[in-house]
Amino acid sequence: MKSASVYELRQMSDEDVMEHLQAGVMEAFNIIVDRYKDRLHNFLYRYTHNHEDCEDLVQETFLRVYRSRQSYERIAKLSTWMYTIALNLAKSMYKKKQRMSLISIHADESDPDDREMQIQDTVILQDEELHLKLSVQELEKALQQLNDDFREAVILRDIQQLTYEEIAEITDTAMGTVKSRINRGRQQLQEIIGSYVKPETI
Amino acid sequence: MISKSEDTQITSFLLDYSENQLSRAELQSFESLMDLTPELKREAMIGRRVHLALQSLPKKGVRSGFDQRMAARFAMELDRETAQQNRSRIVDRDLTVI
Repeated sequence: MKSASVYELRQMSDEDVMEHLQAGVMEAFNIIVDRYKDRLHNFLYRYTHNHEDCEDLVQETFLRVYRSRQSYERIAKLSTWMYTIALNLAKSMYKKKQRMSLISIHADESDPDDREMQIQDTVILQDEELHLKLSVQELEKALQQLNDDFREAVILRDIQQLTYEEIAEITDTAMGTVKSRINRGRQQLQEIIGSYVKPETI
Repeated sequence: MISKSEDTQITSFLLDYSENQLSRAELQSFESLMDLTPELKREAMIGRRVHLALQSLPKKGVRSGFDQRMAARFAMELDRETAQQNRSRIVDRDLTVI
């Protein structure tokens, strides 16, 4: 393989960068980390609700990408492959935590985003009952209560903004099932939120 | 009774409606259908609202110092890999001597 400068590597597609990593170019690893660290953190945070645990998972995802680099084949998008690794790690961590105790959603004091915040609802709804004020914490808490399959589909679509095809590949399910889970997940979220919104906020 | 394929189609419409992905013609026909089916309308409104709310959640990026901590962990990984390769070489050499 022709050697490439860091500048050239930075211009390449994810899959080309990965090929360089497979060929032993270590700088390629840094580029993958740089491209995906925030995206993976944002994704994994919905499972950990804690920056420290989340960082561990992000680092572990990258290390697994490195260790399994030779098993990656270009037929899959690198991002899809990485999300699959991250999702599997998140699921096993989540199960472990659930066995220990229920995860409590509380504000992470080191995080300025973890505060009560009203999300502006820009959709004009006829049904007054739906005019519930959502807060970040309520949403995060509701996400935790969602059924596992619904949660991963909703997070990958609404938070990570992946395509249905990518979600189908990552979760190894049919596209119709993915769409149905997203729709049902959103409906269930509203039900959960509705169940703990105080009457005066309606 | 709604068939499975109709159900799949309605779900696709619901998702596209929630995410503002319907063409003008599709939107018109879906709105007519919603007018006839209040339950569908409610589902569509909830879908749109929850989708927007989730999209508005603050992004959680890595904390400062992540690159250094990642680099340290990666360096350990490389050491581990090198040690493993050395062990394999020693075993291979010993087997050759035998």
